[in-house]
Amino acid sequence: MTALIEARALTRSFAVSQGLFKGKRTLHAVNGISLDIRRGEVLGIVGESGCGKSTLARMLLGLLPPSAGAITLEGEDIRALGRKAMARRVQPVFQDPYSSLNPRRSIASIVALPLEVHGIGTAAERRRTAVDMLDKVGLPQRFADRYPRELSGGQRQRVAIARALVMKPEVVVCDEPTSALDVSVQSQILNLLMDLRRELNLTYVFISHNLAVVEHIATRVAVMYLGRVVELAETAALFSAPRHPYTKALLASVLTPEPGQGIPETGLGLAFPDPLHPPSGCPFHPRCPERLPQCASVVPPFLRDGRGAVSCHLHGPAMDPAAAH
Amino acid sequence: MSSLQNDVILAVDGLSVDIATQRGTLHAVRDISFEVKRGETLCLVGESGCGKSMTSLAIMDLLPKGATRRARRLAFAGEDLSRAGARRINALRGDRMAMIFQEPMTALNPAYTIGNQLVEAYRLHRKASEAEARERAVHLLGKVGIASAGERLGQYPHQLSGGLRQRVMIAMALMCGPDLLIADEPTTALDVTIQAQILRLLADLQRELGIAMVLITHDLGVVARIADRVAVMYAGQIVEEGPTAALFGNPRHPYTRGLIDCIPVPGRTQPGGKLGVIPGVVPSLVGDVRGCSFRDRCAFAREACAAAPPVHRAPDGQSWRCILENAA
Repeated sequence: MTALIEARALTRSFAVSQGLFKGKRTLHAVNGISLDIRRGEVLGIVGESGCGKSTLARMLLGLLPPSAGAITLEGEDIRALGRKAMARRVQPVFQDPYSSLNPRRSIASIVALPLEVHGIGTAAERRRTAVDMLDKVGLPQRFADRYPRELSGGQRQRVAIARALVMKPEVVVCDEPTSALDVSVQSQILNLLMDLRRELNLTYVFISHNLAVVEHIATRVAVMYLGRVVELAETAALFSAPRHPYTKALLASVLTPEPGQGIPETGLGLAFPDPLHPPSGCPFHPRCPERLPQCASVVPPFLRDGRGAVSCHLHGPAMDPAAAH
Repeated sequence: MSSLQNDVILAVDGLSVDIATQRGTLHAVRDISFEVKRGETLCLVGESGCGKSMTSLAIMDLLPKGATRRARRLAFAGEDLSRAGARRINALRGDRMAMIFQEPMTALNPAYTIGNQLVEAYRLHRKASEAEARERAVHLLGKVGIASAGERLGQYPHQLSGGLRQRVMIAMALMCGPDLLIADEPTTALDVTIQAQILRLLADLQRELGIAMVLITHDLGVVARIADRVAVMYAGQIVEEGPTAALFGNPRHPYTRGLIDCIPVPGRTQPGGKLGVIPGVVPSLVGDVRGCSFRDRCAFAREACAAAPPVHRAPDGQSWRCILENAA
């Protein structure tokens, strides 16, 4: 698999007001992330609120310019590529199907809008394409002239997916696509995404806080913490042998529906991640049950090896990972 | 005390909640019955609109305008709340029965300090002095794992993280030492690592203090790990109820089975494979609702389902509302 999208040392900061007389503070939502997205894969991005996963998604979509670093699509810088050319190849599906659809447009015209913007086909052709696409996502023709308010959450998310696919993109960036849905609807949307991926040879970036869903759908997973990727590995490897202490804690916190297992002890303590006041050294060190003396002062390098990549002093080059445990 | 009634803290018998809408009466909760004993956790689980939150609000007499409740009996520690007056309910609520909401930011008053909000109910119900109340607040903040609790009392809700706010909510609910705690999606707004911490805390405190807990959630993972017994709600009814291990091990109602099959579980579901689905949508609960409300979505539906389905009971305490006598 070759890299379809490459992100190099990607950083995005925001100036955040601290209050009327306090001046502004810089929030590094994404802090030096380098990442490849390979053709045909489902790259899962997991992490807790405030870790920067949605900011990363918006940059990958070309909706938000990075403060530093660059993104290339098949070797071409996306800034040179331009917004429209980018939109033909990379499309989003967002979390909330209630706010991402225009309430005053019919379903067919919502799905046809990208075609209209790009000046593809006549109005009649566009409608036909939109209706075909709606059919593909499981919405029969009778939905074409309805409005978003007449649809359930799951049906709206199908509309959002149809709109994303109508331009025949190569990459779909899904940002928490099932988080607002009930579990019985979530499974339908996940099945649909998997079917469409096979049928249309899509590449997905799948952002979610739900680890069970990511384990199910992703082929490779990046774990984010306070603006950085702390671990990256093939899905099976990451879930069976997590290396970063944060990944371990995250996986341990997942409550699978298995009675009698009790509630896990995460060992994380009471500190919580605050993106406005990131800790020195390794961003995870205040919560880390395995921290070493250097963790408070030295940012661990992002080391790539045969198993993936990890950013942790326990897995540094000077240290044998086996001996660290 | 309630020990005379074999430790049943809450006994709900035939509770219904109706909501007046422009299209007619919406039957949000339809004739449900359950019991919770001291030291026991009952989970009410179901998808949006199944009536689980309305059930909790009806018990606490906190229903929104336009919603009315009916019950044959709504017994709290043997006392029928459905016949109690507003004054009596006010005396019990926040004292012997307490509630934790999903979003601590909306449940806490942003204009008052944590300390003010913690001591308010305690001083009201216990006629305690400010100093006594603050002492108890510090004690409980410590118990829910908040360090330097004394300083926290002077802070406002916005100065705390989501996890800390939810801990404050729990401490507040425990101020008067309630017999019954109703927690409505207490960890849904939180990150998974914080969720695990909060649930552990709730389970430990509940066991230690012998509280009867009703936990409302849509998350089967939470249910499996914390509940002693589970009631599965669908379209305003309890369609299945039973001990947690039995219900997950041998779900009898087709809806329960369907719900469990929808979620990916490592080791059980094939990565990238098909997940189970429940086709169709929840029926409208406006107007007359007849027969099994799940029949339009059920693979086992037959003509007899148009009539109200019978309730079956297994010796292990599991009960289900379905024409199927054995597991779906």
